[in-house]
Amino acid sequence: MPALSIDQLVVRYGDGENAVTPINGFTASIAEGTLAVLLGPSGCGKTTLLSCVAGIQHPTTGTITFGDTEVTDLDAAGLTTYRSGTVGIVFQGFNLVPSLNAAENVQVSLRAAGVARAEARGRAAELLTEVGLGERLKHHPASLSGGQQQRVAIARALALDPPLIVADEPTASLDHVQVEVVLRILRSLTARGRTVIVSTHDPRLIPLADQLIEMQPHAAPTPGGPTIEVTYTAGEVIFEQDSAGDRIYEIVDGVIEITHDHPNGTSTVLATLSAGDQFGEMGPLFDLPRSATARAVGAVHVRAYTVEAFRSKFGGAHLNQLVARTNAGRDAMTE
Amino acid sequence: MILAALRDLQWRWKRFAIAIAATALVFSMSLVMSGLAESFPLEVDHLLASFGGSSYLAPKGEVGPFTSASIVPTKEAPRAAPMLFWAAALRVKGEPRQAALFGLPPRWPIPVEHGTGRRRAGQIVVDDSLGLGVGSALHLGATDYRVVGTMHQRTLFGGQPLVIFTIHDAQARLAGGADITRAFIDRAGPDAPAPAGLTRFSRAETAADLLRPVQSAGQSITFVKLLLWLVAICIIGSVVFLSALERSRDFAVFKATGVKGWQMGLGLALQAIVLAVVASIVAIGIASLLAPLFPMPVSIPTSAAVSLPFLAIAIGLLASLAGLRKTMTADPVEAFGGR
Repeated sequence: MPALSIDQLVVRYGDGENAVTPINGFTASIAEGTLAVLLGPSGCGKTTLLSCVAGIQHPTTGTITFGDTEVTDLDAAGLTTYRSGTVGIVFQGFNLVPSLNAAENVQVSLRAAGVARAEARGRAAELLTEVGLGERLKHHPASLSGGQQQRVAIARALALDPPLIVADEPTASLDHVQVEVVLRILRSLTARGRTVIVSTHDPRLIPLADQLIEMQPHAAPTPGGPTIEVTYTAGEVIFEQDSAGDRIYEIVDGVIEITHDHPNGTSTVLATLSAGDQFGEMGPLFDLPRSATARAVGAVHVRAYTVEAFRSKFGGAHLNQLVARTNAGRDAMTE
Repeated sequence: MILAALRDLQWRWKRFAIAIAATALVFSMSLVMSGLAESFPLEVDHLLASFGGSSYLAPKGEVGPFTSASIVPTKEAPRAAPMLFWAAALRVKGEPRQAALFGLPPRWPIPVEHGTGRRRAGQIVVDDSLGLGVGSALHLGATDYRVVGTMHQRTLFGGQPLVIFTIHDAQARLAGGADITRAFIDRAGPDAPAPAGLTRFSRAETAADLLRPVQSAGQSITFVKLLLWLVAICIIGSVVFLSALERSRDFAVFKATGVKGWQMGLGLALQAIVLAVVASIVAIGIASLLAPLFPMPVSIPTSAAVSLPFLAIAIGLLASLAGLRKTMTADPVEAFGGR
């Protein structure tokens, strides 16, 4: 049985045409004692997912279950208890309290959980020694390096010995020397059956992972070589919003319509393109999901390029112009 | 969370020190105000103690012996001491001074610090705050009065010194020497029957009569005290609220790590209480330095000084309400993402 199950998770901000959906139907399961690494570019919802798993944010729909606890069913008091006893959080920016020294930063959650002062002090010293900061108990965050601060943050996350640790970009603010120590500590956290989820776009964490979770699936390479010719009939979809894609398109003949679908079921026509126009460069170029749907208005003949093929045929400057034109078009839409 | 609250006080000590100094000044003014308000009944107590007597008599229909507007012949109460009272501006050493003037029988005993309380014609007993010593003269119109005794802390209406003439000199000044009076001091108790045409007043009723002219002043002082407490609440509240604003990320982290909202609120309330209580203790020192500098008598009551720290706790709690909301509504989501 997995320690953590995430099922059809949807997180949506706002409503109507301005709604944003950073997580749309995400499903994953992570076994007990596993170090799972969440991968994906900025903005793909890694932090949002972690905050949902940590019981900090409530998803729009979907369920999260850790052990026997259905996190998404907990009320405010239940979530506080869950955060206090079940989850330890390591934040990207360390988030240590500047007025407290290293030991006191670790002690806070212990004291708030009702642990006696002397016991909390002892536990904090023990944890900080474990992460190699036994000599710096009385140091304030300002006098610690980034790596040392992150180690204090890890010790704080471990204070109440939680079975689940979530770490949001734990190496983002660290140099390579500090990263090594933090990676070693993160790897060791699973030793006692603890489940650890780390979000990152730092490839150095990949070899450490027991499980890699791609927040945004990469597009499978389209068969047929670097440049292919495709024809579509009226109403046929060339690519769909939120899908991954590896092709940039050029219309040889016919007309296509680019539409953006909103979560409330409405859609906006962003552009109508005809022969000679090029489209669909943003997704493959930046490894992002498609932000709109392209549909043939009548019979359409398109030429589909891989990014490399497009660049070698039209040049980097042309690609940049295309990106700039798309961005200008989006800005105009939002004004 | 108490630890975090106390450490934050240390961390931002300069700001809190400034707030403590400002609040202490406000509290000390409030103490001085209490001292001023207290001085009115204290003056009255001192005066009535000096005059002795167990009750006072005034013409029937009058509100009290010291505010009597009627006159009666002194023979109406032959066993009591006639008393004339009026307020006037005297020129003392060239400067005009407002004083409370009395006429009492020459042998009516007046306790004095120096000299004698018994006066003969042309002799007076004065409060030492008038600046006249035994043997010196007070020029009043065309008449010189010789000071034969001085009293200490015998004033009325917020520091007006007492000047006590013989009843005959007072009658000469007010009624052309007619043997009349406005009231009597009597050694008979308050329950004794009053002579015909007169009403008997107890010491308490007499004290109330003497306090009536300063009643609105006392109420104003109470109002100013309330305003000062409000200012104290604003000072502490704004500092604690600013602190809460700056610590919103810390609160988000605390909440994200399972600390309950009320625990954070408790820490913030503690900060406000510490600030207020320290300010109240400093205020007691400042007030004791300020009190003698006031032109009016200031008698800071011990009860006011003792109760100030407790009042400060209440003020601190009220002041922390603004910041308290900030802690309760802290969103743990804010803890995510880089600084």
